[in-house]
Amino acid sequence: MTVRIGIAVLLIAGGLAVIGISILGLFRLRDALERLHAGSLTDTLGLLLVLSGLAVLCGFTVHTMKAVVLLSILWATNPVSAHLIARMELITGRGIEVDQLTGEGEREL
Amino acid sequence: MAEMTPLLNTFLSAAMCFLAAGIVLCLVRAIRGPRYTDRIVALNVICTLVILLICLLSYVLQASYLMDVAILYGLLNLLAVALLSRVAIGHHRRRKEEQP
Repeated sequence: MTVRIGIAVLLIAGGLAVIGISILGLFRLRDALERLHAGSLTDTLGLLLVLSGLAVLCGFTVHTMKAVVLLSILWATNPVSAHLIARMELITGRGIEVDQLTGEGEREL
Repeated sequence: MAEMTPLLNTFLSAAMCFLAAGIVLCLVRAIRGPRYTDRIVALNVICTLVILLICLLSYVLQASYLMDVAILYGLLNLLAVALLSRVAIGHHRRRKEEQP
């Protein structure tokens, strides 16, 4: 089963590389919104690569099922929290009131 | 399932050390961040890194109940960010109404 271990190691190493790029972006970018853009990389692609590497390692077991559940939950919730952080930055930092924008939506909260 | 060669064990330990170093770097960012939104962004990244650390640890220890801990940790992260944004926006609007 060395082929499976090789594939899993490649996937996990790719995920760690993405996480390294994301943390580098947290330090190099200048603004809170740009840092949010860099930090969201960890929440989606890094999570996918590392969890798929773990799933390849485990095979078809309960462990893999829990990894799939974790991935679906975090892919649903992490963009929502990124949206909330960006909204908070817009309202409190830039003085943009979203109620007075011309588009539909963005009226709640 | 659950083959564990010494090379794979070394690789997983190195990966967990990398994630721990990333957590420390994000903590530095959270301390240095000029605005509080920077700190919350760094906190979000720390949460995701801790989740990945728990997942790798659950494979090394062969304990699949640790994945449940990771799921709950992710849900708590969303709850914390939602409450923080609501409180901060409400505070800002109240302060702006008091002194226009």
